[in-house]
Amino acid sequence: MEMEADGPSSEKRMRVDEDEGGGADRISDLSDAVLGEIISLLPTKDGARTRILASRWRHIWCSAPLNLDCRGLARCGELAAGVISHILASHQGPGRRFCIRHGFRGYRADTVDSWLRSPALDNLEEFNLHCPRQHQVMLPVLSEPFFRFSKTLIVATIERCHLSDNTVQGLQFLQLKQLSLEMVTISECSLQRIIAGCPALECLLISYCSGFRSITINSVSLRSIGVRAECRWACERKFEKLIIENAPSLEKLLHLDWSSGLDMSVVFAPKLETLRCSSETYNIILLGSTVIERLRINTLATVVSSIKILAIALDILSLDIVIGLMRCFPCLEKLYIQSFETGPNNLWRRKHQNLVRCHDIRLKKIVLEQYYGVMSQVSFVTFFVLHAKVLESMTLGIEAKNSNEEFFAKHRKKLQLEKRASRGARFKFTTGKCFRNVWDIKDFDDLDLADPFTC
Amino acid sequence: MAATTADGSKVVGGGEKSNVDEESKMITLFSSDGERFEVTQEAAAMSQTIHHMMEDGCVDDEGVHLPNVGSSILAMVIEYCNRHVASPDEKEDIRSFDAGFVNVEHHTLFDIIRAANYLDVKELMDLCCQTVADSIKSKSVEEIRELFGIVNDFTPEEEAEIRKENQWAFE
Repeated sequence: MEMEADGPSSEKRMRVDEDEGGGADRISDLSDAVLGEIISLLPTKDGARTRILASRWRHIWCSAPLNLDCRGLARCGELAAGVISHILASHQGPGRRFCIRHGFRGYRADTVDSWLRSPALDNLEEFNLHCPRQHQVMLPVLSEPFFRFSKTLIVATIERCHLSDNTVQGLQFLQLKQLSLEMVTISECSLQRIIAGCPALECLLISYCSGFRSITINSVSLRSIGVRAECRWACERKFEKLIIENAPSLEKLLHLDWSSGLDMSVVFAPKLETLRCSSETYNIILLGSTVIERLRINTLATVVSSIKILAIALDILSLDIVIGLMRCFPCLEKLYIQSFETGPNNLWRRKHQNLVRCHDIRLKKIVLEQYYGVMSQVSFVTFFVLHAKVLESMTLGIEAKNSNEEFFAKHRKKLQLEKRASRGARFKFTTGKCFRNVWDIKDFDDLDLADPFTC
Repeated sequence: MAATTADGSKVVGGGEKSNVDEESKMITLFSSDGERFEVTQEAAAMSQTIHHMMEDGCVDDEGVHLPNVGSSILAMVIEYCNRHVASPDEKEDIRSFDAGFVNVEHHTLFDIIRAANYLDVKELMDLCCQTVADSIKSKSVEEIRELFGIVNDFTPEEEAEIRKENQWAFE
């Protein structure tokens, strides 16, 4: 893979040649601490296998920070439990990462407790807990020994657990940067307490949780937040409202539900650049005065010029709706649209022409899924073809059966591509995935991308 | 409290930052072989070692001597730091740069690791260690030995002992 290194460099770089072997062993010259650092980045089995490389390597894994992923360690749960206990017993710590995914039967609670208390996990930095599937009604309570990691944890993913008020009380996760709660039941005040107790939190993912109606975000460090309000079992309190009260660093706000609804209110988030919402985002209140109901602009009092990337799931593909959103987000550069029905004919009206006269459309990239070529879609797309002057690319997702020259030629003509407003714009029909949607955005890495939707 | 129009435009770093005076102050670094390098204080501060020296007032007019870092490696570390302070927000570009940066022979990579460790440049250290780890992942023991030139100095009995101790890892 050839990559150009940026910037001036007088050094001549030589490619890493994987077959280059022999020659002096320079890696064993690195200090124990550095080798330990490298080994702690390896998957558990790979890490343990380094012991057998040479005598210099024998003891490094045991004293390096432990990266223990309990998945795949043995063929069945019982054997795995034995292996995990053995590894923890023979490691002196500290712990780098501990990932437990319970097998079908799950591990015994007292066994898990004893693991969490093991000195091999001292000062743990990353913790992933996935509890057994069968506990649908009563979720296992996140055990108390977990909270001893509160001072050192940087990343935590907790799935299918109950976080009780007693255990959460008074906890602060001073170093926690990334937190994901999935199918967790927790009370509203405990959830608020946890978020307030994470002064370094940068990324927050809340999916399919229950026990609270609303979350209010006050965080100077938070950069991205993704929420799924859908509740996968019968629950008394369902997540209904997200309030971004004070989030000066927030860059991404993603409502990632497929079909569940949520109200959102953004009071202060001056750096908010990326937004995903859908027709199921019932009410969006921006800056206290602009109200968007199911993506239709109700009141446009103030615009939000920070938004550059918008991904929407529309119930019907309507030019009115999209132009309304563009008025609300005048600096929008990238637009990703998924629409379930093609809707009315999208005839251009005077108000659409007015928009174009008064404001330059700054869109650079438009992606539209499920283009069938029906009139309303043609009308919709052509509006942008002819008016988006700085458009760089437009991608239309099509069915496999339409992937032929006849279709392309017909629609290039219908969409009036020769008359496009932006001469440099590239138009593409694709049968593949158009953009990364709610299923694809699952973990912290996805939220960290500059544009989480681009394929 | 609420801003009516949030100006989200970012400063796209093209190179020089023309703002505060302190940030464009230069500092001189000397490699082990006496070569001289001028860097901005901001880039130099990516090295916690140098950063602490600057804070503690240990940097005199002459500059900072780095007896543990040779000139060719120091040049590379400086290039890394310069690139990372220039436009920290352009994540995609930086990813490309990083990928190209670590595309070097192993012994150079280890030298960079040693330098990054000594200078305490965490991001560079993380990047290089991850690169080495990635080249070890999923390889068999023999393949790893061959890749790095590691000589197996175990007796067959010792090897068997280790395999037995960590049977689960070798299955």
